[in-house]
Amino acid sequence: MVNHWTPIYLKKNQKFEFIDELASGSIPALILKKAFSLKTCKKIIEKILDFNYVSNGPGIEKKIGVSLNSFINQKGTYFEKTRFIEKKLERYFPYNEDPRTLMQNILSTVFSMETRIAKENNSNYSKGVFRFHGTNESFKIHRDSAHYEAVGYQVSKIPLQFSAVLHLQPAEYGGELVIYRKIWKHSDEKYRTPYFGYSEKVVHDIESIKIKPETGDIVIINPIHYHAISKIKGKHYRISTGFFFAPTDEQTLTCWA
Amino acid sequence: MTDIIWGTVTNVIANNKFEINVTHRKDENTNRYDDNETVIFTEIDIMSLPADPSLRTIQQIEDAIKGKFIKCEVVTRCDDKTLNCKVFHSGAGGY
Repeated sequence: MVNHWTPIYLKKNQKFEFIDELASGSIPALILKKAFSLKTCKKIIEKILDFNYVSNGPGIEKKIGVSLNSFINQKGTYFEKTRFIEKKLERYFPYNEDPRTLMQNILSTVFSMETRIAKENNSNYSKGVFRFHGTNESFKIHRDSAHYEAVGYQVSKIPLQFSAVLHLQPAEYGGELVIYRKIWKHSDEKYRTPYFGYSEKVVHDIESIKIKPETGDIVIINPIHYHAISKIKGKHYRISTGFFFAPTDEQTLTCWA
Repeated sequence: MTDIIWGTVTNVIANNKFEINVTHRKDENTNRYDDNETVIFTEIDIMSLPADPSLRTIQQIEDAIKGKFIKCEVVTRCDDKTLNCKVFHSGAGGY
């Protein structure tokens, strides 16, 4: 029997009971089709493109929001910047309009669990990052693992993590998410490249799938699988927002970025 | 300009000394570096390690850097061929 490695598609409020299969990698991705309407995504894009506090980070030229990997050795700065940016974003997105909060609510429904933002010493972790990929940009092969990378942060004690990304504006051409059927292992560190990601050698001859996201889709993966974004072509940015989450007890999904 | 090398730490010898498998070298480096080098670090920027060098143990250094991809800014090469370096966490393997 051929073992097809294909994503599972759900409607926005459908329940998903196979989180273990997603964790183990027997399902490469869970896609919540049209979780956000085109109209809502357009409104979010208009607001976020008007936001002044744009930064860059490992592997990305333009983003809004704070991510752990930019502050691996600067925990104080990470929480300070998170407080600053989240306060600014609150002005743009009142509580029930922040797409990251709305995503959390959707995850609560899909997984039948409560969601909460991770906290450390009374400081909230970042709620998520908006990413902008311009034409000719791609995103190198990488894997995400706070457990390995972010030692010193409380979230590194969580052994498993998922990634949830809402696609607000897909690339005109390209910009597909490529997921490889290979889980990172410690000895792969020899394939690391300076600044960000891994050499393509790490996924040589490995099966992969491509996901072409559509506006409003939420794509959930176990990001310990190597993944990349193919080259973006066309006039406009590929815009997405997302965060990591993990079950921290039977009832709770903890989120961070 | 400072010479820079990157690689994974293969063995921790002392609480300020380790062996590295060098996989990347800055294009503009002045000197040559072998695929395997021994490094004595004068500074190390890894959050999980005590700031005071006298409080660091070999075990802590192993936990923090063994098998990890790091960046070494070369200060000098000593007479015994070891490199004196400032050591940093290098970039990220992912978000």
